[in-house]
Amino acid sequence: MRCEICEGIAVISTRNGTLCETHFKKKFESVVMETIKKYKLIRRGEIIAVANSGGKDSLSLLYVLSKNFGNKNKIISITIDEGIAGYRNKTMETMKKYCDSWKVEYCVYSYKDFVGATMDSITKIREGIPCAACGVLRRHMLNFAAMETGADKIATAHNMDDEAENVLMNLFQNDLEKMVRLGPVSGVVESDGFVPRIKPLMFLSEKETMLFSILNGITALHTPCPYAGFGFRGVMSRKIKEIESEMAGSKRNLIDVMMALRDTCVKNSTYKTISNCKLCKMPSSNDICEACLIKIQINGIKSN
Amino acid sequence: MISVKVNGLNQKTRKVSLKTGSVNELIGKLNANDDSILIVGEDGKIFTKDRKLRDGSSVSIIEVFSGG
Repeated sequence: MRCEICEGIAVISTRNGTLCETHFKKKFESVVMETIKKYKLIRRGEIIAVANSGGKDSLSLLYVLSKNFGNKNKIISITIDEGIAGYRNKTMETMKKYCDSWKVEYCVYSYKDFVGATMDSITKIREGIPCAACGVLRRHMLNFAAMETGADKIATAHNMDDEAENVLMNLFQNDLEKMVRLGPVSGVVESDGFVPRIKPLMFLSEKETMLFSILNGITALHTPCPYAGFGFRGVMSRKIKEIESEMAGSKRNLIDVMMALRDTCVKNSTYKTISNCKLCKMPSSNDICEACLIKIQINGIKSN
Repeated sequence: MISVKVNGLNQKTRKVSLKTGSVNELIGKLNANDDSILIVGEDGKIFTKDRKLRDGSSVSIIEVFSGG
């Protein structure tokens, strides 16, 4: 295949074009910038906290944001240390190195400090899929960290595959309310104490993001979380990639359907209002938020 | 019929025989799909699925997965 712009040897062919290395890298950044502009994700002067796991997605996002917004916005990197031996400690070394070279402030918050237990020990004492508890705790801690660091937005590196997985998972779980909270900005929930989350990579596939990181010499630890692949998300991830191979554009179509539904739901205000958790005072749709419930459960099990 | 050495998928190295020698054929032989892997040649260049492989050449497979 030849690059549709310069006729050079192509490195990828996707919905975003058939492109050589040089034009793919340019296109990737332009898609990020167009997403930010179209959905007004970042305003001049805002403090942007990038949720940084040290993987290809978050490091690519941090690279693009620090390069394009570093002179007009403060970009900080927030890492949640779940306490996964042989995984998170390795990625943290990588993250620190990149944050130093891109002159980005680097902050770490840990489950150990918040819950009193690492993810490794939580999986031993708590039944169920690890990702369920981990996701709740991570979102909670990211919001807390963003508040504490004075961030205006949390930029997460969710890509098109992640978002399509979320759409399908919510669809199969008959959870329209959760589905319409998806999108480039977590827009339908507005509450004091909730730092809006933005997804500048939402219109780029996982493959494009991995290729971008490789071509830019971003040596992210290309190792999945040892707990990844469990449960429903792992199944969805594999199925979506299979479907995309058979029918190019299906991931994007899923997202477009979700966005159309989201617009309708926001207009009709069919979503629940948000109050505050009675324990931690953070935004929650229940009296006690899911993160505090997990904390109570873990500490209860530990003390028995 | 050509033979190529494949490194990386499931941490294994193996030889695969191909009729047409295309990357697309290789992807099928590996029971993989184009959206979930990157194929890298010996010189580190990324191959698209129409690329023809040489007999005796080596390719590396990088699996695409979510980090986090």
